[in-house]
Amino acid sequence: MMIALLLLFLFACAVKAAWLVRSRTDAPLLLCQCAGIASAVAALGFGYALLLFADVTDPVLAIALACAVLLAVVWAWPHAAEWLRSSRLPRLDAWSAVMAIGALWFTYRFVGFSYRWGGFDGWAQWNMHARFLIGETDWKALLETRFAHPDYPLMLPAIIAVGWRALGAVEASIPMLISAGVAALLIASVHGAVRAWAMRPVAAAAVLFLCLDPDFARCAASQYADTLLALWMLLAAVFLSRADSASRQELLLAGFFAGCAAWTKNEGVAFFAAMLLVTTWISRDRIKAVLRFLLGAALPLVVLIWYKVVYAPPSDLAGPHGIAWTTAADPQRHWTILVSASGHLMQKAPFFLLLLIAGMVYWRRIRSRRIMALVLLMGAASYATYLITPYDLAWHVTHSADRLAHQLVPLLVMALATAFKSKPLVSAQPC
Amino acid sequence: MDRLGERLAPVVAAVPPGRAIGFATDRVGDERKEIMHRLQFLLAPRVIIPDVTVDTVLVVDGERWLAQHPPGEVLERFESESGPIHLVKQLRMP
Repeated sequence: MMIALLLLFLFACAVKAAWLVRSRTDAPLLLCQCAGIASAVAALGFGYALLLFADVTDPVLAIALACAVLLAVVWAWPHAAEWLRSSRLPRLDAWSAVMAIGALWFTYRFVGFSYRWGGFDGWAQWNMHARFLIGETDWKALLETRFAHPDYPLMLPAIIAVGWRALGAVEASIPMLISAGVAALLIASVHGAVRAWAMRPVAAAAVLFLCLDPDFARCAASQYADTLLALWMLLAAVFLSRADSASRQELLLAGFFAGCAAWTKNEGVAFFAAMLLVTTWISRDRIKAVLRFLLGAALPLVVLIWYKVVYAPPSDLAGPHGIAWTTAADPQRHWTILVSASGHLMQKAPFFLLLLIAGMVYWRRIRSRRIMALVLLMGAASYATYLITPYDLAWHVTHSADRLAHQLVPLLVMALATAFKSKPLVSAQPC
Repeated sequence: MDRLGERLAPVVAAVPPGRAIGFATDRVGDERKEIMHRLQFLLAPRVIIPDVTVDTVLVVDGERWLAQHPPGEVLERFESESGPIHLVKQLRMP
């Protein structure tokens, strides 16, 4: 029963959100649908966390869910028929066949890389955190697991916990299905986003690239939060890149998805800061645009700030080891970062390096400088984190560089797709 | 890992709710860290702490630790992939 209610809620939210995004006629339907589904998933992630923070009891939770479903259905009802009517099977041509083969290969690799409870961080952090959120005991006991990073945001654990509560059991299939769903949504979003800028062959090439990247499938199957973060980052960047002086929804959505990124991982906070910086830069003389961005981010940010200020212990960087400020000027440290990162990426994320090289080659042709600015800012933020990390530097780099690459690959694919000028540039005007 | 969880579930069920469970092992470094994380994952939402002063302590592959810290009472002992596991009920110091 609860699963049926949840699915109804997800569908209704997705319909309404897709309808809102579709207010601009040049927005591709697939991108709108992906943004709609992603918004519904995000609503589960911070809605459930909000109810936990407010210490609601099980009956209140059931009433809240019933009200949310009712509201969502009433809200989306007028658009559902049209949405279903406009959703048609993809055109069957050579490019569809290419993408289908890519999707089959990706599925094969994804299944091959999948295992019960995922990789180390999958079971030791994200799935473990979710076990505290299912209502068996006070969820705040999670904060006492000091060695298991209780300061990490709870978007993914909350989504997993909702799944387990709906199923009525803690099953390994739920995080596995969530990771598969998020990966599929990310690939579909890349296709939808690229179609907004370029013609079908470019979109098919982008999908094929992601599907053939073995590291993309490996990271997606690991049940880490990086794929979910990559999804928010892509959607936020795409809507920011489409924002112009005539747009209202785009900046709201860019802010919303950037806020979701911040509520997913601590790196997401850096991404949110990068998004705010780029938004402020492109709308220097239009404070309303920045406010619109912040308004979109308000809900996820409220949840994040509530958690970080009221509950979460300080992060490792600000913990007992302290930040290694004094070592940042050490030239040896810079050398270690460059050597460790390049060696690790060559081994674990060669497709990312290929994209970086292609980005440099096609730099002048890339039309979405906003996305490239975000990629560069995220690279700079990671470099600065490595400089001041209190951990062993080589260990830290080799345990995180490939995940950063995983987060940035969809953005780089998207940015490179804009180098192939097939459609008129949407965001020619500043915000 | 799930089989170990099934084995541990009734063992720790005797520990009063809300009480943290201690953890000790002879292993060091990454191996110690991994065992601690595995226990925490399997026993969540019970909290595992790397502390042996609490009432109940899980000793994983810790024969040397047991020899050095005479425990109050070993409630249960069984084998696991990570080595023998002892559930120790601490004797309160006067």
